[in-house]
Amino acid sequence: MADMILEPFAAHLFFAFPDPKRIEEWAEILMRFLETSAMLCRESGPCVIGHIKGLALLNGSRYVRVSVISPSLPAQVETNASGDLAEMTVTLNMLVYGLSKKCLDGIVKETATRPGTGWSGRVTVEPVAPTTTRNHPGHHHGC
Amino acid sequence: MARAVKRCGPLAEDAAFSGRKAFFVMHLIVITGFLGSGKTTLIVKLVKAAMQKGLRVAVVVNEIGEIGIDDQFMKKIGLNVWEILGGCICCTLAGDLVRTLQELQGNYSPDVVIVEPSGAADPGNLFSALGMSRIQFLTGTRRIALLDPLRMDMLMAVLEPLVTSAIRQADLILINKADIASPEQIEQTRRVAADTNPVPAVMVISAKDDLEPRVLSEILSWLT
Repeated sequence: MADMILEPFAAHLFFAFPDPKRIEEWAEILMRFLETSAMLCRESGPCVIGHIKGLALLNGSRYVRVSVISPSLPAQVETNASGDLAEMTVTLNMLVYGLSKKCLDGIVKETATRPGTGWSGRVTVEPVAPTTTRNHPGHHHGC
Repeated sequence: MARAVKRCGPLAEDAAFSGRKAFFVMHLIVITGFLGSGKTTLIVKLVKAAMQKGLRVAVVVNEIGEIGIDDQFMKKIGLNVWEILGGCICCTLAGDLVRTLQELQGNYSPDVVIVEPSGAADPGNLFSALGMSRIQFLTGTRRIALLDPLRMDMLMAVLEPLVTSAIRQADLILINKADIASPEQIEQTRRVAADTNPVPAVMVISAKDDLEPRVLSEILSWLT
C-alpha cells in the first residue's frame, strides 16, 4: 500500500444519443460504463479501486447515482428519475490506488470509445481541471 | 445553505488550534469507513431519521477528489451540506473542519452535525485533530466505523492501517451491505472488528434499505 499512489481523477461525461432513452436504459448504460472502466483499471496494472462514482443531476430533485468498487462486483445504481432523455451529463470521480491520473484519464477515454460495450451514442470526456490538493505526504494518499 | 470551505493554514499555526476553548452545544457524529463502504447512503438515512425527530441537522462532507460528488448529491436531495474540498480533514484540512464546526454553531445552530471524512482519511489523525482543537461538545462525539464485508479480505491485505484505525477509533461498528454480503464475509468482518477492538457494539445493516429501529436507536437515542 505504501507504494501505491492515489491521484484523484474527475471528469464530466457528456452522453448523447440520436433518440431518447428511458431512465432504466440510462442506468444500464452508466453501470456498463463504470464496470468497463473498473475492468480496464485492473488490466492496467496492480491497483485497488477505492471507488468510481458517477452522478447525473437532472431537473428538480431528480438524479442518477452510480458507483463501482471492484471489477469483480456489479456497479450499483440508484435513481429517483423517470421519463426519457437523449442527453445526460455525468460527473465522474475516480479514486484508484496505484494508477496515475494520466492513466485514469486514458481509461475513461478508452471506455468512451470502446466497441461492444453497448452504448451506440456519443460520449465526450472532459477532465476537470486540476486543483491544488493538499494531501499530507506518506501514509494513505501516497502522492 | 451549502458553502465551500477553501482556505487552510498549516496546522500548528492555525487559530482554530490556539489555546482558546470553544464550547459547543451541538452533537457530533463522525462516520468513518473506506471508500465505497456506504457512508453517504447511511448518512442520508440518518439525516432523514433525525429530522423526523425534529432535530436540526447539518452534514460536513470532505472529499479529496477534484470535484465533490457526495455533497452535490446531498444538496440535490435537500440536505444542509457544508463541503470541505481540496484535501483531507484528517491532516492538512483539519483546521478547516474546526472552523466549519465553529461557523455552523454560530450561523446555523444545528442540534447535530454529521461528519463524513473522505474514505481515504485516517480516522486516528482526524480524532487527534479534533482533540487538539479543544472543542468540547456537550455530550461527546459519536464515532461510527462503517465496514465493507465485500472487500474486507482485500482491504486487510493492502490497506490494513486504514481499516484498523477506523475500528480502533470507533464506539459503534456497523457492518454494511448485509443485503449482498455472504454470511462468511460478514462473519470474517466481525472477527476483524473483534480482534482489533472488542469494546464497541457491532451491528449488521444494509444502508441502502430502511434502517432497523434498533440501529437508529443505537445511533440517535443519545441525541434526545
